[in-house]
Amino acid sequence: MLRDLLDISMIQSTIRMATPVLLAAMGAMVTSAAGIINISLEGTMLLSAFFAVVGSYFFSSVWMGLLIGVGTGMLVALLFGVFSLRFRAHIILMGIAINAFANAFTIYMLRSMFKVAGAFSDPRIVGFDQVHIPIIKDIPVLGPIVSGYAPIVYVAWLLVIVMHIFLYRTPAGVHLRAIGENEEAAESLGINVERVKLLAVLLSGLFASLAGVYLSLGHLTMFTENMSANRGFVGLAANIFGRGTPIGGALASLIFGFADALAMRLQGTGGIPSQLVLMFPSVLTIGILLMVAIKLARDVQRTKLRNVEKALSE
Amino acid sequence: MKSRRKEFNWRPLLSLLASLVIALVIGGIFMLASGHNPLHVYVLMFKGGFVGASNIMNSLQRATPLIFTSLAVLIGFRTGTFNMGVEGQLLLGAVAAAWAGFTFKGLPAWIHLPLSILTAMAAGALWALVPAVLKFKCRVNEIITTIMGNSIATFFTAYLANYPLRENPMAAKTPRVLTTARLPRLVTYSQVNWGLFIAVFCALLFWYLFRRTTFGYRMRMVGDNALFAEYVGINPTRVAFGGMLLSGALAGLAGGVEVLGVHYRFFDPFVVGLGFNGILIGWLGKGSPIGALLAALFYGGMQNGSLMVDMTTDVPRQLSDTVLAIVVFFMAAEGLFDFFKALRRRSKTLKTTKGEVTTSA
Repeated sequence: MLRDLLDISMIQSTIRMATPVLLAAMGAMVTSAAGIINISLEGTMLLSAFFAVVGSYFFSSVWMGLLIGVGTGMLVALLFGVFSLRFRAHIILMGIAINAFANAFTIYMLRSMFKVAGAFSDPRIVGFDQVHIPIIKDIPVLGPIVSGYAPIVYVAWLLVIVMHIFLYRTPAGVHLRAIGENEEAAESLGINVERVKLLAVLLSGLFASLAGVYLSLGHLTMFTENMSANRGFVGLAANIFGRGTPIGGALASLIFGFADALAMRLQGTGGIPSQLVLMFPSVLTIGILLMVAIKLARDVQRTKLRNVEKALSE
Repeated sequence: MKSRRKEFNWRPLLSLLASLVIALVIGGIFMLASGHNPLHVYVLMFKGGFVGASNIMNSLQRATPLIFTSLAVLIGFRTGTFNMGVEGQLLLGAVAAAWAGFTFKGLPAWIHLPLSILTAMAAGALWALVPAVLKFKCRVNEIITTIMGNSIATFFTAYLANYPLRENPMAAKTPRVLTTARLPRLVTYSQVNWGLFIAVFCALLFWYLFRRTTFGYRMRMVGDNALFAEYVGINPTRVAFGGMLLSGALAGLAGGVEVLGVHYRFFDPFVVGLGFNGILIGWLGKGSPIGALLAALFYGGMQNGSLMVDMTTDVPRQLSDTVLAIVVFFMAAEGLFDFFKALRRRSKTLKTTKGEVTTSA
C-alpha cells in the first residue's frame, strides 16, 4: 500500500502541490517577520491567478500572463499596505475584505468577461512550458524528480535560499526582523518602520501573485472559481510550522504538498468517499498548528523553570 | 447616559455612506468595462431589492440568515475573537436541523420545531468548540483553524448528503423535514418565514444584553480591554470562550432556519457565502446588534436586487458581493477620512500662508 503511494509521480505531484503553498509561506514569512498578520495572501493569489489567465488569453503569451498576474498582486499588496499602514485600517478586516472581494470579483468577471461559470479554459490561454534541465533530466529517478516543472517551481525553491540570505545577511532583512521583534526600539535606531513594512507587504504580494500565476498557468492552464482553495491560509500555517524561517517554511510546505498529493491520489482509488479524503489536508493543518502550539507552550514553561532554578541557585 | 444619547456619533454612518458611494462608483466602472450602463443596472437593483411586495419579501428572506451570521461574527468581535468559521458552523447547523427534522417522527410541532432548531444550534456550537478549545487551552490562533474548519465542514456535510443521509440515488439530498419541523411561511409568494422574527428577536435580545445586563457588559469589557477586565475580576478566557460558543450557536441557527424555513432539506452543494458575508456585514454594524440587523436587512435587499439584475440582464449576481467587499475595504480604513481632512487642512493653511506672503510682499 505505502509502496504504491511513494512512487516518482507522487513525489512530482508533491512538489507541484507544495509550490504555491511554499510561495504563500514565503509571503507569510516576510510579513510576519515585520509583525504584520497578512490574511490577504489568499485573495491576492486568487486575483493573480485570474488576471494571469486574462493576460495570457488576450496576448497569447504566458509572459504577458505572468506580468499582468504579478502586476495585479502587487497592486493589491500596495492597497493593502497603504490602507493598513497609512490609513490605520484594521489589518485582519482588510485581509478579509480583500479575500471576499477576490472571490466575488473573479466569479463576476468570469461570467461577465468570458460568459462562463465555474471554470474557464481555452486553447488560447498559453501556459508555462516545462523546464527540462540538460544532463540532469537523463539521470534515472533523480531526473524526473528534479526536471520537468514550470519555471515558477524553480523560482520558488530558489527563493528559499534567497530569502534565507535576505533575512539573515542583508541590512534590510535585519531591519525587517528588528521591527518584528520590537517596533519602538527599531524606530529609535532610525529605521523607517513604515517603509520597511510596506516593502515586506509588497514582497509578500509578489510571492502570493507568483503562487496565483502558478495555479492558473503553471501545471494546468485554466481558471476555476475559488482556485486558491485556502492555500494562502495553509501558507500561513506552513510559516508558523516552520517557525518563521525560510527553510522551515519550505519543509512545512513539502508536508502540506504531500498531504494534497496524497488526497488527490486517494480520491481516485474509490475506496474511501472523496469528500472524506479531501478533509484530510485541512485536518492535518489544524493538527500541525496544535503540535506547534503545544511545543511552544512547553518551551516557554521550560525557560520559566530554568529561570526559577537559576534564581534559586544564585 | 442622557448626554451620551444626545451626542449621536454620526461618523460611522457618514463613513458608511461615503464607502458605499465609492464602492458603487467602482462597481459602475466594472460594469462600464463590460459594456453595461451602471445607472440602469443600479436602478434595476434598487427596484429588485426594495420595490414591490414580492421583492421586499424575498429581500427579507435573504436577509434572515445574514442577520444570524452577522450577529454571530459580531459577538466574536465583541469578545476579541475572529470567528471566521461561521460558514462551516452554519453548514453543520443546517445538516443537523435537516437530520432532526426528518428523523424524529410523531412529535407535535411545538416540540419538534424547537428541538430541530436546538439541534442546529448545538451542532454549530459544537463545531465552534474545536477552535475555541484550541485557542483558549492551547493558544492556537483561531483565524487559520476556523478557516480550515470551514473546508472540513464543507466536505463533511457533502459526505453526509452524498452517503449516510442521502434519500435517493439521483441527487445528493437528504429527505425533506417533516411538516412538524417546518417554520411557517409568512406569505405564499415568497420563502420568507418565521425565521425572520427569530432573527430580529435575536438582534434585539443581544442589543438588550449588551446595553443593560452585566453579561453583556462583561463581554464588552473583555473585547475592549481584556487586561482591565481581568483586573476587575472577570475571567476573560471564560467570557471569550463562551462568546465563541454563542457565536457558533448563532451560526448553526442560521443554517437551521435556512433548512427548516426555506429548503426543507439539506443538499450538496448547499448555499454558499452566508457565513462570509456575515463577517463583512457584522463589521458594518460597528459593534452594534441593531447596526448589524440594519446592515443585514439592507444587504438582503442589495443581494435580491442583484439577483433580479442577473435574471433580466447579463450582469452577474456577484455584483452585490463585490460591492459589499469594497464597502468594507473602505470602511475599515478609519484613518482614510482623517487623512483627507488633514490634507485639506494642510492645503488650506498652505493657501493662507501663501496669501500672507503675497500680501506682505
